Amino acid sequence: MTQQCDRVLDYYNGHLNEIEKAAFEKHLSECDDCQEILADLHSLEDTLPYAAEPVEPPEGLEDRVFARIEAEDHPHSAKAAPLRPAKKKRQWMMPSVAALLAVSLFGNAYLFTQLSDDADIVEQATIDQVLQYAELAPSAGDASGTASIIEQGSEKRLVVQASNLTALSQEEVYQVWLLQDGQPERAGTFVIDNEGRGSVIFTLNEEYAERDWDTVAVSLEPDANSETPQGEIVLASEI
Amino acid sequence: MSQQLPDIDLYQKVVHEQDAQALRHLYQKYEKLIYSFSYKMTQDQEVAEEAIQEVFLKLWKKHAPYDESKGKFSSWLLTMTRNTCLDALRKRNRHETVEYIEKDTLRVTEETPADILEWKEKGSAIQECISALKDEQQNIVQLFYFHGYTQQAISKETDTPLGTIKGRIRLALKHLKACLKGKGGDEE
Repeated sequence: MTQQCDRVLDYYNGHLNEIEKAAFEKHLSECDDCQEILADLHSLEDTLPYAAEPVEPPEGLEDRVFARIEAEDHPHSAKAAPLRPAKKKRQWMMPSVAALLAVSLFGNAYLFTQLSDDADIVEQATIDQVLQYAELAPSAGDASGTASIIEQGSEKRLVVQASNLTALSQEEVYQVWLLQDGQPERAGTFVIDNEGRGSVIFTLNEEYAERDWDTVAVSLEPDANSETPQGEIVLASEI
Repeated sequence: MSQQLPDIDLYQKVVHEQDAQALRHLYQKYEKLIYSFSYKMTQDQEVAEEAIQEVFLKLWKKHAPYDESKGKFSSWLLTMTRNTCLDALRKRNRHETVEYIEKDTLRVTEETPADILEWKEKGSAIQECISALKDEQQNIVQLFYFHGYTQQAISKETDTPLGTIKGRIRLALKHLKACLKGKGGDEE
């Protein structure tokens, strides 16, 4: 079993983003274990929904459903106007992560502040392949972020973007760490804009690219020179 | 409602002839099932209503083409309903934490529509099989299948290590399959 196997339930429930989904599907084609659990689920799809207890639909539901269909068919008629907001509400799609990453890559040009010696700035928004992706969980507060390891040509880069971060005082920075078996290594430094957002792209050198990182974390550091985390971890995830 | 065409014929009329009457027949046949299932998933009358609207709009707009290779029309419709509800839940959960509370205004009935015989048959079989599961498995099946929780959320809600959720689901599914088979269910 691999780490991908742990995604089978979230895959079935449609919780994976496009990148995670593609990675999982690749895995699925080779994993009997995951295929079996999905086959079991599919075989029950014809029965499980009938466990729903009968509930009377609200009055006038049919009229409302068909009025909406009518409105969608004639979007320019005056009658349809009040239904417009409902139409807008239908857009439940998650923003594509690829798009977010692209924004992150562009945004990086000005949000980027300082990286370790191994790093440099990526200016193009082409992503050849996302190797790993993780949503970063806050240790406190409502900060959020994502981390991806992407492969561009022969190079691997770690892309971290975060938002809702607490404002920094003068020397303070946010430091990204890659961890393997609890040992942290510096993997990019960033400051944030006045809305609490920041991102950084860190190019993995040959040694780092080969290593089997298990965790990515972001900590708030007193300055940009910490060799090990001195401040508190604000975001972290397994990767 | 007069005796009508099979689902697949009604569906063909909807998509090929834009026959609104055929859509209405399908709607009338499945309204209660789709609404009840949506309500079971979302536990919210407003969201359930939004979901059923969405399902029939997708059908009308051919956003989700169906053909017989996808199994029975009703199963396909229910799967589409489930996915639509999951989208609605994801959208809502981004904004608030949801607690599943039975609403007292809800009109629960015992009646399943006469033209969906399988609801009564399969419904009692699956309910009995779910009840036969261990409590912890029942709970996980509810959260996973009916409420579409992420594995992480199930772990948190049930205070179960993340790594054991999948195993429990897998076991619960095996039990359900075996139990249904014992009841002469038609699932493969």
